[in-house]
Amino acid sequence: MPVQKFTISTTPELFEAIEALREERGQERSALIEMLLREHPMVEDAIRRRRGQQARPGRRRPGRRDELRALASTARRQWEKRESAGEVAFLDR
Amino acid sequence: MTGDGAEAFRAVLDEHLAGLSAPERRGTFLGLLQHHLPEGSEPILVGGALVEILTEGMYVTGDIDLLGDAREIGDLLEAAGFEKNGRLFVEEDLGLAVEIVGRHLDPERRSERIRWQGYTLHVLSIEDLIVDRLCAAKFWDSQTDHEQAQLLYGTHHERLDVARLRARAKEERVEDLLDGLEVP
Repeated sequence: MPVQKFTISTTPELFEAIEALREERGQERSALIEMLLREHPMVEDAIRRRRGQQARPGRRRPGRRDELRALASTARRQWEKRESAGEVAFLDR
Repeated sequence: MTGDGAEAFRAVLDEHLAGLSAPERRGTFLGLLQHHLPEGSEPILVGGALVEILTEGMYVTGDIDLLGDAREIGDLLEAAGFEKNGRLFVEEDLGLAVEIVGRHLDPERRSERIRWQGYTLHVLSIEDLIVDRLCAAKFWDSQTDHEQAQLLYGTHHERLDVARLRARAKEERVEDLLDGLEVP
């Protein structure tokens, strides 16, 4: 993938943390920062928008709607199961 | 909170959080924190960690956003070994990041209590949590928040106070997004 270069300034605290991570993981600094930025939800959203897949609510990528329905359905079953077992409860409803 | 109290708090954190998954660790931490604060001053969980708990980990967050007395909570956390950085308190060994995002709920929002794995947690009401997410989706163009609202609505639609949810959505001008949420 072609790359674009830009320079950033950071606080010493952040710089030292990134350097420590770079040493721990044995990654190039650029690769590490790219990975960290890509994992941030705001950046993830921006990338999606850029790709034109999920610019706004109601324009999700194909299949995501079904995924969300399935996840909610699973969460609901798990919650109800734990509710029946007395592990979770809404106390004010 | 005395030094002994903070030491005891740290000891129960070490004992109870070991071996837990990240979502379980966050919920258990909150339960233990509330237990160690005076009655009536329990912090209220808001934000992504609450979404995580209410959706059984279908959405995963990184930190714990609380409303409460920053000095009281902060003193306890610092005494228990958390490192303070502005409003954020981090304990790397425990894998916890706690942010005190405010002191009180706005008057139009409500809190409620949930029982969770033996703890009583004080949390933002589901209706207000959904509306918060819809506001972020609409006014900040956050797809992630829209998905969280969908997950919350899909998971708990049967227990929602629909009239209040709609009224809050209308107040915050997100009725259009509320109408788009689906039941699985």
